[in-house]
Amino acid sequence: MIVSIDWLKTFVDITVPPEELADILTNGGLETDVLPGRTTLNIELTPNRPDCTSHRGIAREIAVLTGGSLKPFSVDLQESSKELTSNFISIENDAQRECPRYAARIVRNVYISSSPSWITKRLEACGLRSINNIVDISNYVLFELGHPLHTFDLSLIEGNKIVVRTAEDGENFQTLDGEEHQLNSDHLLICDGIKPVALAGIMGGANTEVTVETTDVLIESAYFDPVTIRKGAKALNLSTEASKRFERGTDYEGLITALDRCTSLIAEFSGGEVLKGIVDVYPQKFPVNKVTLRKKEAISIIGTDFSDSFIEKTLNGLDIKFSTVNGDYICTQPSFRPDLEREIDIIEELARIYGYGKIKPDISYHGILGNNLEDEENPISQLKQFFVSQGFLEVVSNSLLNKKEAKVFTAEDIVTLQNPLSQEMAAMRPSLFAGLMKAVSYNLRRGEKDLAIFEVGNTFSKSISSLTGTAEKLELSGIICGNKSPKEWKGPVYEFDYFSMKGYMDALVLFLKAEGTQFRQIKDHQIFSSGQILLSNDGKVLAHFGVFLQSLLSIYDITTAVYGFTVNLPNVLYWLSKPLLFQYLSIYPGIARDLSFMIDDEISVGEVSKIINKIGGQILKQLTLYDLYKGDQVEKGKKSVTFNLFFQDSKRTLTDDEVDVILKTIISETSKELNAKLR
Amino acid sequence: MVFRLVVTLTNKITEIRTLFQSETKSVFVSIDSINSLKTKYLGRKGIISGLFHQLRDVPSGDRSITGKELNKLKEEITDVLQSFLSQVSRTDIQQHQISEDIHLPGDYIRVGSLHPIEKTIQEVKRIFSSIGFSVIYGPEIDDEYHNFEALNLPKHHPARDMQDTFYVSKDVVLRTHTSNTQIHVMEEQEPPLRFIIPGRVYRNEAISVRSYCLFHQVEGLYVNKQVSFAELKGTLEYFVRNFFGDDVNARFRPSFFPFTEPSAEMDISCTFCRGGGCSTCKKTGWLEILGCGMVDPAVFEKVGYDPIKWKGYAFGMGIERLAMLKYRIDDIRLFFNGDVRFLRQFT
Ligand SMILES: [Zn+2]
Repeated sequence: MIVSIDWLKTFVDITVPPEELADILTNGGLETDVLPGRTTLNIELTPNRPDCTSHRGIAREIAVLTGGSLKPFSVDLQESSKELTSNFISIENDAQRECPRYAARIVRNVYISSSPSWITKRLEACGLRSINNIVDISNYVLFELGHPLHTFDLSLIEGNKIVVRTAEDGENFQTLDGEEHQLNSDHLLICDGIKPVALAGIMGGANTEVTVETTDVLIESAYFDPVTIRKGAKALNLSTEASKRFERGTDYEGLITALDRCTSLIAEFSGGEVLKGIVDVYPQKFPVNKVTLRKKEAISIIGTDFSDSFIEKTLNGLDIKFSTVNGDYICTQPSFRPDLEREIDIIEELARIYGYGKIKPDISYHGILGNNLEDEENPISQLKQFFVSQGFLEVVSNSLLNKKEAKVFTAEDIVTLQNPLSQEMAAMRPSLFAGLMKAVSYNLRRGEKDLAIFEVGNTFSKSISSLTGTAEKLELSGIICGNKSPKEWKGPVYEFDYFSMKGYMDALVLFLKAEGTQFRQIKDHQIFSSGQILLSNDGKVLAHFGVFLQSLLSIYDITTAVYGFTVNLPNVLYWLSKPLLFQYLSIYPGIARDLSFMIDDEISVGEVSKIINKIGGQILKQLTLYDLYKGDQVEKGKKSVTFNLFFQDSKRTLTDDEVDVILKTIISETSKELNAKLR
Repeated sequence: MVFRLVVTLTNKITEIRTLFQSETKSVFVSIDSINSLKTKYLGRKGIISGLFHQLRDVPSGDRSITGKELNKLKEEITDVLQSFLSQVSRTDIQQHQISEDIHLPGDYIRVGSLHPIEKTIQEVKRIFSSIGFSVIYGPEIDDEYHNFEALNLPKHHPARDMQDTFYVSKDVVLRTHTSNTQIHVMEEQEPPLRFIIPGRVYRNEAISVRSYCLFHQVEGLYVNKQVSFAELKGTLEYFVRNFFGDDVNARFRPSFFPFTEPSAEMDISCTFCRGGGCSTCKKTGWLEILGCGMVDPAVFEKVGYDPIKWKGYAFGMGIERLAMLKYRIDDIRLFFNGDVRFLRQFT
């Protein structure tokens, strides 16, 4: 909200420069900037302070924050006409809950003209355009006292009455900005004997607007239920100076002062005569709320020793009436402060006016509390560190994406948004690969072709069993593509390939110390054209990886091969949580042997090593494939594979003879099972 | 007889010393020659070892003096051989020789990095862990009750405008803050409590240099029998000093959040201009970094804590904001596009 310093001065003495005033207000809870020209301030209002939506309200703040005093304000209204207001208008309230109070006055024989310059200047300073004296004055009072008023052309009000009612579903209404609105039963309407004339608390109607032809004016000052106005304005996506104030809660007692002020200014500057009496339908008075403020409680919660004189001065400055009983302050909640309902609300006022800066920080540490828990993501940090040490860069990507794109990564139902920012961000990611692919594509376009990146984050799916209908899974995924290293003077460039990916997975298994892990081929081709699963010895999936389908890559305009992996965190965390135990180092020498076989090309090396491992048993400490050959030197359809076997026993020295026996069994077994020929 | 033996052993020590000196005077210093000398004199069956054997026959009165002399000889020989050895490693041209130009570049080693958001979260965790805060996580998709209502943000309250919300279904939202997790924890656990909640949150805001549709937040909650605003100040000032350094000042000013009362906003002196005023701090010298306050009794009532018995404070800060100020990053979108030229800066 923009306020004029000049205008504020009509309510409180201001002796400090604008910048200092802005600081005082900011430190008091109203974030304030001085606007260019240094005659106006921009104040960022929090939704709990409807009382500050006016110059008088801000002036009250300035007074209490600077120790000054708010100048008294009263309206001297001359009811110059002999006619009674009630002879011209009656109020019929069919919506007591939505409109607890409705008051009105009438000014007759007004002369519509432009406003006096002091009014237009102040309005313009606050960013309002001058329209005519009547409209300007109602705006002026709105900015002066914070209560919205509405003026009708009385001659256009039919049936001499105002009816307050809720709208019917589908009812149409044209507001004075010319817009047609379709209403529903959430909306509150001000009607005359025949038709709706205003959208209550939001905007008046075009049909009863004050124009140059207007001679008699009906001035409305009412209290509307904040939730009703909020819902109504939201439904129409319409926010006005009036609705903003009503939805925060206006002053249900002060609305008469605002009405009188508006009436008296209209009479003064339009030459009209004020009818006698006020019509005021207020059958059920708002209850008076008494709040007990305990000094001890205030001191304990804020941690500062407030004195009685400070408390009294502050309550007085905020216009909070109080009495003291046994050292407690029995406060009356002011009708213009809907936010001061409870003791804690008044304690906040004390702290705020005292100054947060003056409260001395207390850094007592209360020891370990009973619920201290270990950070369950510690193992995830370890995993992240593992991939970082392998040269991976961690990325964080948007978890919102296009629905079609999301469906590429999963056969399951995806989670979608009802009100997305755009179609590109209408679904929740079912896989981290989507974000990683975008990162690959982004980097490729910038000439960064050699990538090893990973991300840790939640992925989302539908779930009938959860309360929200969705399930979240914490995952770790990574991608490699391009070259392992740039061109180097020492030799050839190696490209990342399937076995680079597999190497990272082997390293992961070593890192996890997940003994007995096996690789299985992936059958499902949702995202990978070929890939494998890492199974732990209890049959749980630790990870899966593979090379992406070209159809998937082309969505991201990627033509190079990209390899990806996803670590199944819950299953992997089990291995990380296992206590680490030292394994004895054998003091006995080991025996190394090589075995070279010729096998059919379609036989997998895995099948050979499976047999070797089985026969080698406990003492076969390491099995390494170190040569694989297909080509001119061997028969067509065959390949030569060479393994190095290392045998060692932890309790004794092995003899050549016993190792030879094992080798013989391996040779005969592979020959029998796989038709392998020793070379 | 006994006397003669002592003389003999002492003489022998002198004899051996002379022998060793003459032998090393003419020797060509190489690994092989040093090793053979070592075996001859210091080996298990070597000369010195033999002399030690004879020490047994020396009468006990003289044994310690002779023993000392023998040890002295052993030390002398060891030292000389050791000095030969270090000469060898310096001069022996048979050692691994670099035949290439040593100014050629080294092998390429891929160096990874954690994302600046992760680095910042880890730093925040470390600081709060040091003063007894646990770390807890919660769901990104939650019902409106946990994200709003239980936090004293009823439907149709103007405060809802402060957070534009994505809806998954009628009453299911993408959380707008990690405060939803405060509610989950308080529903499940009895006080006292003290924890922080890092996590991803969403706001339905157009993407720009300054705002993104999601960001990361760390919220904190402390509930105990007596908790004061002064303690909240003390805790957060401790955090700021640890995170930004001792020369950064903090200020607290009143604000409004539905879930805290009193509420405050904490500013730090601008890290760019040191408080002098610049474009980042809009010439104010201050940067807003977090919101905080005393837990509103209405929140305690929602989770079934007695607000008369229990007090608490809560705070929440944006990780991207902290990271942007710490690393002087000027565009929030850089965090999310995976640009490796950006990521490599955080190794
Ligand atoms: Zn600055």
